Amino acid sequence: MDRHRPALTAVAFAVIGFLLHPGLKPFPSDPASEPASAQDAGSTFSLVPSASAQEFERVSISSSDMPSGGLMAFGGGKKVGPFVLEHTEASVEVAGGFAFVEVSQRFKNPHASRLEAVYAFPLPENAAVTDMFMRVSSRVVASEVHEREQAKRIYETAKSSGQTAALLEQERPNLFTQSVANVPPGETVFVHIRYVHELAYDQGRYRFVFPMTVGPRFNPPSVADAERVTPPMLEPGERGGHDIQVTVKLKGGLPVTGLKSLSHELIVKKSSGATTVRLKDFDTIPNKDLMLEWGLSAAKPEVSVLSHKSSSTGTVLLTLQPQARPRPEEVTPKEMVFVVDTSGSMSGEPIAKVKEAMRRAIKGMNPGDSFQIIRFDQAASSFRPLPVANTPQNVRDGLSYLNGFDGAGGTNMIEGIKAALDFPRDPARRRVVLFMTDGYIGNETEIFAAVRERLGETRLFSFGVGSSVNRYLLDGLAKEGRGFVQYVRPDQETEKAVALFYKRIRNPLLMDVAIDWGGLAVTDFEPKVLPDLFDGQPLTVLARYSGPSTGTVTVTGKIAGKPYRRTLGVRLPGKRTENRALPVVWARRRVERLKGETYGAPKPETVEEVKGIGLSFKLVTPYTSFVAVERTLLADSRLPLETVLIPNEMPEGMSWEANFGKDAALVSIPRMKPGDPVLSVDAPRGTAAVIADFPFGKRQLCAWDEVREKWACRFLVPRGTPDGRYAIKVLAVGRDGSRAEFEADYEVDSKAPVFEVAAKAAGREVLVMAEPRRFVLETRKGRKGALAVTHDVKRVRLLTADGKVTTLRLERRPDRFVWSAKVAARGKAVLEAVDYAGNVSRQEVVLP
Amino acid sequence: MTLLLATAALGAGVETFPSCARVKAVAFLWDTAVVSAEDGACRYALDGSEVSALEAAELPPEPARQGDCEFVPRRDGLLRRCGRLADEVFPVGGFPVTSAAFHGGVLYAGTFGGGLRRMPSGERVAGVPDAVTALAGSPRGLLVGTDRGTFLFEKGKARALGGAGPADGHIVKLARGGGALWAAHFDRGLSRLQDGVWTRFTTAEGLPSDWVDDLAWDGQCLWGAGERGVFFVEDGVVKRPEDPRLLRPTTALAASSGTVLLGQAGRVVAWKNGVFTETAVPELHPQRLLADGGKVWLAGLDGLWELEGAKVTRHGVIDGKLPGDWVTALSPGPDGLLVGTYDAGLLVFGSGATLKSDAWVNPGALDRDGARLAVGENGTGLALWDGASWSQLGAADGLPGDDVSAVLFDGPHLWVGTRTGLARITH
Repeated sequence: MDRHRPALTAVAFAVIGFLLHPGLKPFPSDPASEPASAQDAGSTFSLVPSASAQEFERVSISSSDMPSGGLMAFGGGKKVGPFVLEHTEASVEVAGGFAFVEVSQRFKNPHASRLEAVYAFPLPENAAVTDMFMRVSSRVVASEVHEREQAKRIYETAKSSGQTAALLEQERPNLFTQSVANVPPGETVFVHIRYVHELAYDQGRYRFVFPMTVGPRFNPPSVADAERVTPPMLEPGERGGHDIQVTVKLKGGLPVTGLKSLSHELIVKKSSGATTVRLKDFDTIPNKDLMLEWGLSAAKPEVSVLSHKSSSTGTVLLTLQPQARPRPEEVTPKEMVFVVDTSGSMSGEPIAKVKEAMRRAIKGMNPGDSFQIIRFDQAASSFRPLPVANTPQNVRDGLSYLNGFDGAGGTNMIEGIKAALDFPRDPARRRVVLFMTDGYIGNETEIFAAVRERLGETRLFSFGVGSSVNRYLLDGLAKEGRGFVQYVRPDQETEKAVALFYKRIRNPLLMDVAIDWGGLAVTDFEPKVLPDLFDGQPLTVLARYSGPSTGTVTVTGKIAGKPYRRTLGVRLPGKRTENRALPVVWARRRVERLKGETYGAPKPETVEEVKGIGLSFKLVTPYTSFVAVERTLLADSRLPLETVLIPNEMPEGMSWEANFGKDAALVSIPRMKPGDPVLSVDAPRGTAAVIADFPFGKRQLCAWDEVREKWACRFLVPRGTPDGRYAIKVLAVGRDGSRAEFEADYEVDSKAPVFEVAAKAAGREVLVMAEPRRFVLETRKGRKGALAVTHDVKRVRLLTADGKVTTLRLERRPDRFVWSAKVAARGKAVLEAVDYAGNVSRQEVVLP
Repeated sequence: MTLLLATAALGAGVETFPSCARVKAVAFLWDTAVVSAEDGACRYALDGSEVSALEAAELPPEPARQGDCEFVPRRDGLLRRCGRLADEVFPVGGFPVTSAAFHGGVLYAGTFGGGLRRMPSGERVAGVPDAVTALAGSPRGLLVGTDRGTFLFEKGKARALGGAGPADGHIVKLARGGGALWAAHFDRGLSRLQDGVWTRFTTAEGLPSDWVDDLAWDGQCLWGAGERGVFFVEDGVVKRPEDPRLLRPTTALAASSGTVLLGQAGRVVAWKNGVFTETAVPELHPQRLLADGGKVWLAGLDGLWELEGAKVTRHGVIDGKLPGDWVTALSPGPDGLLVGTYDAGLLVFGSGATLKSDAWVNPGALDRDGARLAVGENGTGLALWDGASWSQLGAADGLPGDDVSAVLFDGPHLWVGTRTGLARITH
């Protein structure tokens, strides 16, 4: 407990500071650390580090557009209460490539009972959540960080004793859950969350993304109560009742250029060196991520160093962005190895897109490059035994080889990896492997291990093609291959995406990067292994240091095969309060690396190390959580505890039906006699497994059907199955372990239709009418589960004595269905009715 | 562990060929593995060779135990029950857990959909199919029953046991050709028995789909029809016609000397040497197809269709030619066309003669050898006509099941395919 007291104290001061000076945004101190001083907390809350010229802008979002989590119920007695969340505010500052965000959401308990709520919200996948606190009435409740299980116990104890409490847990790197217990009746609760994250930087522009809603997900089983990470969605056309206001401030440093939002309409104002951005009034629904982009009016320096030290251990950040652009003739010749997944799942559009990309790649090679093409499905085969030179004839032959690709067969990816990495290396060229796949395999661990084992000097880049690729595999391939990943969706403009991909890989900018820290006492580098640098992307390295020192940092590498070397004199200070983001960003990186080093379940020692980081840095991790408990009883514990469910907004452009809603699973013949119908399940192709539990006790794996573009199971309804309605339970399991469950109904019907027949003369003809007497209640699938009464007769025919067959026509009269026709024949006739299950009934009728 | 076994004591003249593909339970028995599957029981030597077929093996599931802890498979994960501790469920990749066993001090969980997993990490073991249905652990190794056969996991590697039978026990059609017996499976592709060796053909070997409905030998190669159209097997290699019009779902097939007739929903297609001829047959849902004497007959869910040249005639209850409209099987007979139905018996078309009024003839489960008839019935076994009288065989007589879905006379043998296994009767 003592171990955490300092951080808590610091936060408590920070909270007080925030309350006193709402315009000032406190940022957490270096956590590993001694307590931040009161002075720090109260007077130096600048979000804008000012240590160097590289710190250039401040973006402040004053919004209600924040992670619009929803309070959601758990346990029994759920209630949906979209109006509990009234408003969201947020502030974001950007400095030195980092975003500092504070989210404030205002909830009100409108009930006469106590409120317990859980709300889930999204954050950027690299967000380091550094603080949480809540305000209830005039009370401020600061948080402590504990191991997750312990934090949960503290929360549950407080909850059962009637104390107001809050718990913040990480479910996924980009999904968090907050629980709030014992909110008094009529009270308003503010929940504040602070986090920091690195900004994406690419092609000279920064990008800031603020996620606003949790889209429909499978139910992850890794959480005891799966509902907690699957907040319900509002359906299209429904609103949650809360709105959002976003204000963005950019100030200081270099002028910002080309500021624009890719998602929202903005109001932009500039004054005295600051730029203020707000959402336009009509664009304040929290149903899409806010995406801002901007550039800078001047180029970044090639090498820069920032540091922070407010405790015994400091943090240093080195940023490298070479400005050199080699001429084509200077580029290191490459041995391009194109590996294409031609398994069955790639058939159709994915393989077509891959071919298109391949054509571009082959035609875009540099003159001195050589190339090889490898295809794999169940086995691997290659274009030529060894790579061939980039000559017009070889290119023509290669394209011809490519044209023969078609998607079929299994996916034995390990063969593709071996084929690409195992053949002898060309000492004059650097091998670059371009791996194109949808990644629908289950042995990711084996694949990663194979790449790790064989990579050597080769660089492997993954290219994911499809609407729902296995990102775990593709990201992991790029990481292990020390390259990067690019995705192309079927509806995405292929040309642009592919062009960007090849713009990067065609000319690796800086390779074999090494950093000599010149005697500086730095340790614990993140990343541990330095990647190559490709066009448009900077390299940032974080490290820890213990004491003040001075030295010359030397960065070396190769550009176009020629040595690259830059030096920078660096002084690591004994104390520097600026750049306070650095320690937590280092910690966040380290947590992610540790988790990523063990594909699959983490090792116990990894869990312990991550816990240690979370506790030391006061950081939410998968194994550490924030908990805040109000010691004073604010709510009457005799009142019942009401649980409330607040749905998230449906992400813009997303349909309910497309996410396991209406008709996610259907039987091809919904009403049948015994036979062999097909169960179709509308789950994404990348789903790990779709499992059907049939009512007759059989369990079956469904298979992806390329033609239906659904999962399908063929099953048998045997003779003797009693009439009735049956439900097939379907479980879809995502590659991340998430689950979605739904049902498909079918009805076994062996009863022939029953109807009454009447015939009367109608002039020269006879009017025959058949009125069904047996009806069915049919469930209209959908959220309302509506029932409809419908007739069961598919076709009625009349065989008259003259040998003619007349089909009767259905008339939908106000209160009944009637089949009728006029015929010329008289005397005996046979009326035949067939129902939708194929049952036939026949009845003799005399035509007057 | 309780192990109840019965050695193969099959009915006289009935030989079964279990695939043991869809495993229900596994157990070690001395130096062999005993497998109980949906289509029978098998015993394998641990070196992989098949020892014998068993008539039955009842292998009660054994929960995995360690100390006072018991691990119970559940749909939502693996339940741990430990003495006085509260029960706890461990999710295993989100998959339903079917089985659990210890091997080498490590707990393994069998999942349906996510393969075999080491616990507690949940790491997947390579080389085991997705659907694990049963586990048995011992110091010698871990027996892993799946929906694709049985595997032995030892020294960190998994290898298949057995595999010397057909791909699956659910047979929908049998054919003879090229010196081999061919068996089409409901949703597991195709199997070939040649010179005592079974070979399996699935989508991995080039089948357009594992859902195969009909087979026909044209004198040179085997033709097959199914969910993704037609294919043929030539010299042991699966091939597909390039004409995309042949890729529609096809449920009935006839082939002769390079001419292939296909029954598809709403049409009949004739295809020869790339020439494609289509005849529209509205409302046709074909079950089987027969070319006989210049006519094409189609058994359908809603009647019997007769095609002669361009003329299409539909027969059924409505024209008084059949007592029922659900026609499932066809065979040329000395006295006329034999028609099998699902709810109106077996009859001679046009004569009004009903040969067996209570028969529910399964699709295509009708074959004739001279005066002898074999009829596969839905739920009531195999009906045999010896020219004078009917006899009935079923599971009680050694057949793998009472739902007989395919029959084929083959010299002195009669092959009998059921939903739950394959058998050969020698008479």
